[in-house]
Amino acid sequence: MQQSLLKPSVLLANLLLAWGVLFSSDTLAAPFWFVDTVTPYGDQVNFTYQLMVWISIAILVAVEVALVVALIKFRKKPGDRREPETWSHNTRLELIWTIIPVILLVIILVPTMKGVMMLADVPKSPSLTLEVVGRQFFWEYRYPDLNVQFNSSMRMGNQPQEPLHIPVNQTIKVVFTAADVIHSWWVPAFGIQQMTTPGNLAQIPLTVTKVGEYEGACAYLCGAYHGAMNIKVKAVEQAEFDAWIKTKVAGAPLTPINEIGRIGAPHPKLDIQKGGEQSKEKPQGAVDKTIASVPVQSSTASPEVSAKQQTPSIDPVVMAKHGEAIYSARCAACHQTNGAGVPGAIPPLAGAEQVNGDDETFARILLKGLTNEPIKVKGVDYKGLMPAFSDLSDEELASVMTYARASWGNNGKAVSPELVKSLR
Amino acid sequence: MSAHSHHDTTPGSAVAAGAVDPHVLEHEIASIFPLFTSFGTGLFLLGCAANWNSIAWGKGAIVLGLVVMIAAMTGWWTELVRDNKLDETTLIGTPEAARKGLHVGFGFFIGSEVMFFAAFFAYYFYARAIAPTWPPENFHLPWAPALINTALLVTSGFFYMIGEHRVANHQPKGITLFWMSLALVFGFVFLGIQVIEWADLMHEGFTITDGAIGTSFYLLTGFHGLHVIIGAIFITVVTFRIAFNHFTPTKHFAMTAAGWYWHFVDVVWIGLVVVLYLYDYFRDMVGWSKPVAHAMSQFLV
Amino acid sequence: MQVENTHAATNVPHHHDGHHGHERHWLLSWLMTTDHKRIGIMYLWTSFIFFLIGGAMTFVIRAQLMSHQNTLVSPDFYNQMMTMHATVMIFLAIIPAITGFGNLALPLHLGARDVAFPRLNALGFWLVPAGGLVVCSSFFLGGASENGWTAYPPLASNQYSPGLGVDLWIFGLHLLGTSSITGGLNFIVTIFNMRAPGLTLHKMSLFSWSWLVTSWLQVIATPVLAGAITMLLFDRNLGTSFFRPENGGDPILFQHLFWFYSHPAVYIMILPVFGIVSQVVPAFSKKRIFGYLPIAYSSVAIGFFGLLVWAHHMFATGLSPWFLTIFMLITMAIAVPTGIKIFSWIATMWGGIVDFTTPMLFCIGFIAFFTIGGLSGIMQSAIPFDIQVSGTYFIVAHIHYVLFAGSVMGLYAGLYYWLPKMSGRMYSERLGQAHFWLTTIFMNFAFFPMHYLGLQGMPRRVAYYAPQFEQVNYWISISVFILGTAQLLVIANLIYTLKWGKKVENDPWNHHPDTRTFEWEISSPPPHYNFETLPVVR
Repeated sequence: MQQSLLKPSVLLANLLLAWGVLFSSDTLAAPFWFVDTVTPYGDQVNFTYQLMVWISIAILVAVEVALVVALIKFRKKPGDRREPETWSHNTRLELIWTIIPVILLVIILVPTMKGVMMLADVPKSPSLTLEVVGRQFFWEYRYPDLNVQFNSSMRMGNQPQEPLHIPVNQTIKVVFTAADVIHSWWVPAFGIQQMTTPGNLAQIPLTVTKVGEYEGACAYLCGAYHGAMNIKVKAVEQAEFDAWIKTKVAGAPLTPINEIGRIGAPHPKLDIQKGGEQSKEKPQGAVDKTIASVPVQSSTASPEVSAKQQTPSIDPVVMAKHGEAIYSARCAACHQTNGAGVPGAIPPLAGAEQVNGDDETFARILLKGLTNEPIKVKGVDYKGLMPAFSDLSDEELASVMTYARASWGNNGKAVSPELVKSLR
Repeated sequence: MSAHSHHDTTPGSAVAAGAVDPHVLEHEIASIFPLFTSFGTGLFLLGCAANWNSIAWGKGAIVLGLVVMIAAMTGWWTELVRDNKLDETTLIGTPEAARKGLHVGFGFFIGSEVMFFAAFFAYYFYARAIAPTWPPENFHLPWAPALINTALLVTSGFFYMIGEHRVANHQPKGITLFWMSLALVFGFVFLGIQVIEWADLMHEGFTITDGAIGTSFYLLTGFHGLHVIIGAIFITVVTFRIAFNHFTPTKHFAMTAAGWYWHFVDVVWIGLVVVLYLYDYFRDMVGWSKPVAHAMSQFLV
Repeated sequence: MQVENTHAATNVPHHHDGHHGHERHWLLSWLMTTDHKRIGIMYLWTSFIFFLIGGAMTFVIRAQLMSHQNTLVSPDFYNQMMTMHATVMIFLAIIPAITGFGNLALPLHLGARDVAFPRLNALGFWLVPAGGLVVCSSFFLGGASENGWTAYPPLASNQYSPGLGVDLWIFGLHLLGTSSITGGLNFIVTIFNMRAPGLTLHKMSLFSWSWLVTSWLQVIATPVLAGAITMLLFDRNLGTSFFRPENGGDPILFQHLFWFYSHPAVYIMILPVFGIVSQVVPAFSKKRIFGYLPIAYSSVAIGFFGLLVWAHHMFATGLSPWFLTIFMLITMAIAVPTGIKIFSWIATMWGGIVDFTTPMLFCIGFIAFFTIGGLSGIMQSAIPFDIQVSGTYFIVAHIHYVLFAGSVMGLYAGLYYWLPKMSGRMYSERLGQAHFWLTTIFMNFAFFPMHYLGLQGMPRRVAYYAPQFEQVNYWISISVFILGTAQLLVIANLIYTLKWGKKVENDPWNHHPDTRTFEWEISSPPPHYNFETLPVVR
């Protein structure tokens, strides 16, 4: 080895030179499969990645070349009388290949730490706050300052999907949580991803510098339709943004994000001085009733009906109106605004026997959901993968059921909250 | 890098260790019990899962699995006791190596148990850090049973050490058996008091479903109690073996192991008492702890 | 080193097939065996069967992914396949295979007759089929777990995953984890206590060193996994609040506890393979390993630091960036000892006489392509980059480079290296070479494009994806089908070897004395208690 022309130090020096030339050359600084980024932070990630790719290529080439040369030069040849070498140390070489990786790692650290600091730099008084709530299987977006709430839809077939609009060239504070399971909001062009975890709030700064439509995806496994839970964002000028906002203003104040994400849920009150009560039920599947997941359309809530009465004394028209808001917030993402579902995947509600049939069956489906229970709707088999909506109150469930029955040619019969309560 | 740090493979430098008795080589350590222990446990766990999910054969599987598991483990330990008598340990190594190996191995086993408890203590500290208030309002655990139980376990450990000392010094076994039984009785009283405390708390409405405090309390004391039961069974067997004269002053590893296990159970208990019962009483007395805890929670969570 | 009275000459008629003083039926003798060599063989057969089962699941996964909105399987069944593929491969294929080789070779390398606790060793083995049955029975009892092998709550809680599947998954893992802990414990005691006279720690084989570190990781980290999955089990079935945010718990705690084990788990899956490579490369370079001490100590460093980096799997969770930076720095540091090994293996070949036998080919493939996985790992240690690619196919690419190009190829090297020793017969070099080339080529075709997919926006664990990724996915699927089918060549070679393989003597590889460990001094297959007289090292 000491006599070889391919002395490692010479090889390495040449490689470093080539690398330096290539990396600094515009024509060859290819994106290496990274997407085009449209935020300053994304650009920083992109740059860090390019640096790491070049370093990795250099190391990989060094390793592979050394390997191939060793194999060719020292392969066993027939009739070869060569004795193998007997050395098994070379302190200088070992020091080199220990120190150089350390140096390379330190080099990588510089832009990396800059990126970390950029991500941690969330504006204390942002001009705009966006709240993102992950749900199975869509995103609930809110601009709390503007009282706007907007739900995305799943990517199913060729259904058009309305994108979230955000204003361009503004540093927005984005706050994330999830309402049910862990999701992750990922838009590669922004260079950001944020896991959304129930019980936790995360926040990042976002500044998009280029008008355009950007695609993303849920990047944490959240259930059966994780693959359909994509993201569409449109960065627009302020005027277009304001116009979009006008179409989305919610009728009533939004529920605080803390409640949706179950952040800092209070401890159950315990008082073991009281004797004998076993007031706690096993919370299997039960969720704290303080969660309000849907903005209430009007403050005139349906009056309480006494438990003895069978027929509801509440106005079905009022209930259906209330139900419409709930439907668009929680059901339309899958069953669609026109109640038609998605052929092959999501059953329709229009004309469905489960909707128009007896109250108990209908209510049970909403309360318990369907997990792997095949269901036949209008003669077509579906897999039966519906989340449970037991977090909604009796009134809310009765309202949305009444709305579904009042729409798309269904039978129009109202459902009472008492029935829902009796089936929990 | 010194010259002799490589594997010395110079030919012709070996010296025979002395031939081993070929008769010894004929005997094989073979046992059917590892297989049955594995599948019995598997069946038991399958039954637990089925039972929790309301499947009819679950209970049957639990019972059958437990029977196979316990029978297999009993058979296994019986074999080990028999092994000891036959000195089979010379088969695979020297008796000294076997002795040392048992000590080291059991030490690592206890280490793995420590790591298991560490996960649950980690939960406790984590839940405290993220709770809006701790302890919850109007809540405090009754500390009297905890202190009594601490005294019971510690003295039980002490009695056990007396027993160990007596066996190591070839002293008459009658009194040894007395101390061992006393250690056991204290252990059982401990368990009894724990059961009563649990029943009282549950009667008053404090159950395992009561948030982080319910979870921590019942799981920490529950797993600890399970280990006390295991330790008590171990000590019971050791006591019987003393009665049957299985041990000599220099060869009584089972007794040493049971002692280590019992002391480990003791140490976990003390940690549990300090952390669950006493910490909150004394926390405010230690002025620096609050800012430290606050800083840590900011940093981590 | 020479061992006197090797069995070729003075063979007492002991074979390791169970005929001793009292005759026992062959099946019963295998069921009751505590002989480390037989246990090793059982581990290997079991792990290979599960490898094929996990591979079958791969076929379903890749068939579904051949088009972007395929209806071949329902999305929930796809999630079962994806979850069980990883679970089976990690816990039922790779870890048992690695333990199998440890069982076969470690006592021999140490000059011992068996491991310290032979019955415990047998338990460690039997827990594997028992655990495998529990986990896989879920398919027949309402469906397997669908939450990924990482099983994060709340998705894995009873509310979102009701039924038997996750509970059985958890219980199966309890059994498999116990197997790992007892195995590690056994090996530690064997290494500390049963080395041949004169065999100091600094003279024992590098394979033994790798097991010294791996065993510590198994004993320290696995119980924490047991804790985490027990907590999940109780949340599901007893109403506890470990991970329920509405009741004082936090899903993020599960991640801390889970990854405290699962990161060391990946070192458990690679360190012994590094050990195999450190034996095979010198053997077929006819040259002593370069840098014995640095390689030995680098394993210790990797193991030690490996216990301190778990939160690098949590970079996207929103934890404090300063907290996460500590984990980033330690993770980056692990690159250095790993690099030392790669460079040392190449330096071992340099100046030697390289013989391209099948085990050597697999080592070369390992060095060439594990490096890619190592480099993508370093890239992932940079927090901002990891946040971008977390949960995407970039990670899948990294995983498969380190686990397939890494662990699996290294394990194959060990298989071909030790097969003649264990069976007494030589395998078919032709079939072995065909296996190697098909594996290497199609492995790269399958997994390299996944880097591209992840960077361009395809998340992982999806049954449906955006249309623009369809072509690349199609290519990957075809490559995987060929790669998977190529593994059947191993079965063909095993059949060939056992039926027609040429009989071999003690050292079919003609080791250079500087590279010969104890097992090559004794007969093939080794006699019942390995050495009639224990070797002594001077």
